[in-house]
Amino acid sequence: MKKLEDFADDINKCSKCGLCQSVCPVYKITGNDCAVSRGKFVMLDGVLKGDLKLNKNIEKYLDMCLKCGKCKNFCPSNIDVCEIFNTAKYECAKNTFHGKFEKFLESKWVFGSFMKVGKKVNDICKTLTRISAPQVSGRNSTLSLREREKKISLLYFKGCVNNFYPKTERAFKKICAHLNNVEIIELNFDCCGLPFLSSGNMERFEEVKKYNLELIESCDFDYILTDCASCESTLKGYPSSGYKKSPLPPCLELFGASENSTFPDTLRADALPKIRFTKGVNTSLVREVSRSDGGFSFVNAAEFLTGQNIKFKFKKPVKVTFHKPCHLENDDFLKPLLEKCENVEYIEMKDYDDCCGFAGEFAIKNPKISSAISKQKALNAYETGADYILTTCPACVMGLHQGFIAAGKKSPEIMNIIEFLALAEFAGK
Amino acid sequence: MLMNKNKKLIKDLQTALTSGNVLTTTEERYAYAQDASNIKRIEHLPDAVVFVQTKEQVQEVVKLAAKYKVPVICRGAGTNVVGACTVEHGGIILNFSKMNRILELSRENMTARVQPGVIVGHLQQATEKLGLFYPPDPSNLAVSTIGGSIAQSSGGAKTFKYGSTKDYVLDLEVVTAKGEILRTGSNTIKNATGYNLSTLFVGSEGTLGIVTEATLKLIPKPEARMVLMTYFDRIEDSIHAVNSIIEQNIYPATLDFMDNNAIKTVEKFYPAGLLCDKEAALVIEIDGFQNTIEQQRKTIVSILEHCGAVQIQYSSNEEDYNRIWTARRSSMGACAKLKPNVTTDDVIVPRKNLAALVKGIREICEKYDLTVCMVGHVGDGSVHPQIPIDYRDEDEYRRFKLAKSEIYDLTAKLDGIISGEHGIGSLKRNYIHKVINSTALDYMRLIKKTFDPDNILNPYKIF
Repeated sequence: MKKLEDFADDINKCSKCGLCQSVCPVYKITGNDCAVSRGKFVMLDGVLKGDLKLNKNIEKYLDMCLKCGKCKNFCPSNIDVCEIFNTAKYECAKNTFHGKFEKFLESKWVFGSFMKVGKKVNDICKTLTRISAPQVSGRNSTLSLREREKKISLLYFKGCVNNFYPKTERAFKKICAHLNNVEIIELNFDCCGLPFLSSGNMERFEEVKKYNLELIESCDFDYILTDCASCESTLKGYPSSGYKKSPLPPCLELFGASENSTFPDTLRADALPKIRFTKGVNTSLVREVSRSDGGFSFVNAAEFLTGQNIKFKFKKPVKVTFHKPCHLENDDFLKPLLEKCENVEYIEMKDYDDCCGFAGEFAIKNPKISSAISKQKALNAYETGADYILTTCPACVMGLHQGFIAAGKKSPEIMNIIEFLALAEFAGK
Repeated sequence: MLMNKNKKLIKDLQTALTSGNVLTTTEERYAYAQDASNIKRIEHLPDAVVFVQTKEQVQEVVKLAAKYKVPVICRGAGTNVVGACTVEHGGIILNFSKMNRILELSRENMTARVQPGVIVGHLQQATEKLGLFYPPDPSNLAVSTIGGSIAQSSGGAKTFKYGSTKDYVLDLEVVTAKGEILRTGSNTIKNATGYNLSTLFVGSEGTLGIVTEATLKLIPKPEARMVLMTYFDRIEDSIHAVNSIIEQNIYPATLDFMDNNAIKTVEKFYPAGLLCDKEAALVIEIDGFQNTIEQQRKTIVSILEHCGAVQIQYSSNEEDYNRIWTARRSSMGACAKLKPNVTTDDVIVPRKNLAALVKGIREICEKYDLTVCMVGHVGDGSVHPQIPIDYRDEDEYRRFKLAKSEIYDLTAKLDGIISGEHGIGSLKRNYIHKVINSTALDYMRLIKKTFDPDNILNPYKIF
């Protein structure tokens, strides 16, 4: 586990230019230099120089961060802001009472049991509703190799929200039931770890990371599938936090790299992923290579459906708008996916990629700032006159709802884009 | 005793502004002791950091500062690079980030009335919606404020044609050191009524009074614009080309240049196919009516070819325009990748001496074993020598300080001035005597004393 001192060079690299103010959603609301990366770097630099102590006054500002990564993407000095703040937060939290209490709440024992209850309730509901799911296989798939080669196998990382309230999961499976080339693998994953990371609970984060990675490595699949942008972004960050990281081999570089600018054809049903069909090479061996490099291929549910042979027919014309979650690396799928929808008009909202202001714990610790950011987001969405606000992260759904409450406007339907697609009638291309 | 005074001051500030607008923890005060000048070591903290939203609140704060005899240091975005809002004697940091409303935009008068915390970039966007234009464009306009621009007399790439902040200030509302309200001008384009106090306050770095409202002149927005980029084998050739363009009665909005090191550094970190073996690159922006652009371009291209320019590119759409400008604008970011701390400067000379200045700076930096990337505005004769260093390397820091001093000597010798658009602040005050004569300095001190007898407004900055 890294210490704050390990980032001394990075902290020193901050030239204090202050340009991060232009992208920081929290600065836009507070106007407070302590709340933006530059101010935090000045304070952390003071800690490293021995001028300041890492105490609750600094922790307050470390908590005042959405982890949206806007300043990180923009920083002229390329500083990995989030990793530094998470480490500083870890060092703050390890000694304070509330830090320890939070750790207790997040422990496998408390958090894990909570999740188990959620899962149980969900399972009971499942048996009651009986959705027609596509072939879902557990760890020991019974499909023969021959059968499997025709299919894309997706390792579904459902995320905690689906454990409690599997709306998106059901919607995705409902759509997949119309596809005959998909195999969904479900394993008993733990939380992706994002909440632990931002509350500075590194031990717990390392625990879930190890657990989840072991599960991932235990099975054979083509893509890790997520329906939540935050889960996906956290999973993608696993290798960098201790695991050996190196670029994916070219044939596997589908969604692993961030520079994807166009939607790759490789996911189309007629051009199945090369990793499965590299001639003369055992597919699982190819994946073995990718795994030892610490890289996996990711696809989010919306990207995946964009490449499939399916059309979505809506009976009545509807207008939709889209909120891009900060953790969604790339939204190139959006327009091609909506083109597959009949009777759907897309209206882009102003600043569609601005943060929704929710960010889990941030909203609890900074309710006023969070609500002010959400309000602006909601007003921008409201302006479009859309019937549906779509996104790909359950926390953003909550942020948007919070925004409409703060703005005092009647909210349109707010949902994951997958749930929206499941409202349609399906047809082949 | 001292503690008591401090506690009382903070209590009074909290009563005047509510406690949410007063930051007092050591950590918060520490964060506000720094600005974009990135001072090497923070040794003094302000006593409090306050946020204001009205001129009445500013008056209250100034009156309290006068009562307790503590400094008041104004701060917009804290993006000046000369230590204008760093802290040397404690005091109150007066933050304008929440006093940021555009009060009035008049299409007919072609004026904008704004609060000091308005971000320059936001004002530009708002005026452009009305078909108007606020030209001063400091490179950090995405965050820097009008108040800061006025305090530092900011310029930008377009200064050559359109002038700097001082040319756009018609009227200021100022809170004096006694807490009175003073108006410097009028809401008219011309004004020959009494002393021109507006220009006195522009560039005064918060040492004479505190601007709480500004009325700014706007101009019609040029219909079209185009940017050209080209390279030269010799710095003199690029300056000769600029002179020839101006001789042809063409008035480009921008005439920017990059030296060989700047080209190489940008290409290294943001590859864009720049020609790294050339001594200088010029970035020329022309604007005006759409139907005049092509003619200007043709004339400029033929002049450039005549002056030995190679690979002349020009923008045919907005995308090209941004791509070319990005190369020039990335120089600071690229420099930041060479060493952890990057420093910049803004020396300026008459254009005829520019080549000598650029070469001289390079020689000085070579002598002291420092890397220097130079970009600048050829039209104005100003250069930004960006010197990347590592503050932790004491010897390098010493050499850097010596080089700076020599650069200012050279500037003075070439009939120039040590700041064209950044201001003096605390970092350059030891050098001001090199370019301002002692009689002028004495009168400046008298002016300071007249406006601020107790020396509470940003004390000891500039001189």
